[in-house]
Amino acid sequence: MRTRTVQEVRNVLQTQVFATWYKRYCEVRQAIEGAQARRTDLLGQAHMVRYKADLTQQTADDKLFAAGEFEDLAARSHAEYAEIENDSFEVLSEFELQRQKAIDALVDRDRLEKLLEDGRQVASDLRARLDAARKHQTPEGVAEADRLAVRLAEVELQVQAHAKAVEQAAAAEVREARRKEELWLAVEAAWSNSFRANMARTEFSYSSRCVRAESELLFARSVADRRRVEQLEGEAQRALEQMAELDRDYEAILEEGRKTFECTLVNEFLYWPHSEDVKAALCVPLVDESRQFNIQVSALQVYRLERARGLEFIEPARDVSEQASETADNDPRLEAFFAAGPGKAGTVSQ
Amino acid sequence: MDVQTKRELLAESPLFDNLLPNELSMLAELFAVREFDGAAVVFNEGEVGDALYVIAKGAVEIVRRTGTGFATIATLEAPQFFGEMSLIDKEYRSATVRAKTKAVLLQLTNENLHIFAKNFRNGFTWVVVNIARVLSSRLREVNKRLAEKL
Repeated sequence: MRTRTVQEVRNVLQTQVFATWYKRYCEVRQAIEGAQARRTDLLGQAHMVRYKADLTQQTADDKLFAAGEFEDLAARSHAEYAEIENDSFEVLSEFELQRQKAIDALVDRDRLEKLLEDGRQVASDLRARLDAARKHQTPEGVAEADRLAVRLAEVELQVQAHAKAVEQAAAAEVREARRKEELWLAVEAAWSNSFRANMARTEFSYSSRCVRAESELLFARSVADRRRVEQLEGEAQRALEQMAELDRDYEAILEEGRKTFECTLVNEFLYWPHSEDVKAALCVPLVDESRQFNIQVSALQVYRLERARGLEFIEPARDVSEQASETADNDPRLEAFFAAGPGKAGTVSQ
Repeated sequence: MDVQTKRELLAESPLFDNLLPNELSMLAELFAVREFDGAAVVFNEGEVGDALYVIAKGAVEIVRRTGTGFATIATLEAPQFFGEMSLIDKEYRSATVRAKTKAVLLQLTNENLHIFAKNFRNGFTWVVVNIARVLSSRLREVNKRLAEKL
């Protein structure tokens, strides 16, 4: 590798061969960056979609479990409904028996009241006849009065017995009627529970169908997402293969640059030993870079660097002729400065 | 920010009065672009100074420590500059500078000024003259205020 002056490097940069090579260099780098960005994007998408598929499947599993729980609830409600229905028939049957008992008690009370009324009527008649017989002081009259008094005493005993029986029959009637009412309330409660259990059964059954349908939909989505993951990973693999191919092209371009321009080329800079300074080198960046060096470097400009420090300290390179013209003692500004009148040289705005 | 934009900004600054176009072009390459969010510190009082700054966008405030906190000495905006004293005396920073708003600054380090001096001796002389003018102007102002107080 031979040494170069700044001007020689500038001449290289101005050749058509360099322009063509640099165009290919930029194209391949751009293609590599594009492929890299595409692969990163595809892998990112694949990770996202896989995560979504896992989450969707987890949700589908949860929904399937929930559907099973709704089915259990529906089955339990159905069993409860059947049991309540059976119980309600029994309670209704008991109620019917009780209703008959209440009617019987009512009839019995009526019968006993009739007997009591009849007994009282007979007693009243006997009392009237006894009073009339006692008015006759004849022996027949006295005997009749005695007979009637005995009969009246018998009838009054019967009336007392009837009165007690009526009282007991009335109490029995009230008791049987109350029991009948209680049984009717039990019948109504059973019918109400039966209705609730039946409605719950149908709604739980409906919920189970809904949730199971959602679960199946989510499973289908999860499967579709996993197919999409495979597709994205396939595309990412193809992008990787394309990158490998581009890397080979890039390496070939770098090698061609090294040979054609007789320089050291690592990746983004061309380097030549400096003709005029054995400790220095000239370099040409192939990309713009504003932050990583001590100065802002622009692509295809010539820079000077110390071999020992390399890219750690870069200077803009200037030709010997340019430097000579700057150091020549012909700058009129100093003359003007010293020739200026009072106040002019010191004028400054901040 | 490209080199041409930096060159135009530097041409507005009194620090670079009288410089030739090629001198300004090299200076534009040597100035690095630094961005600061509001309230971010550019440098602290007491640190060793090794660079001057020209404000490209936004504003900065120069503050000094007091017994109870900080007192603002001045607020600077584009295309004003600060930190030039350290290029002359290589002393510690006499005040803290922090961004008042989001600010874009152009920074010229001692090392990069040395590159400029090696390449443009006359241009370097003018930069030094311009810094001296600034310092001289400030000294006159201080003298005037002192005389008024006395």
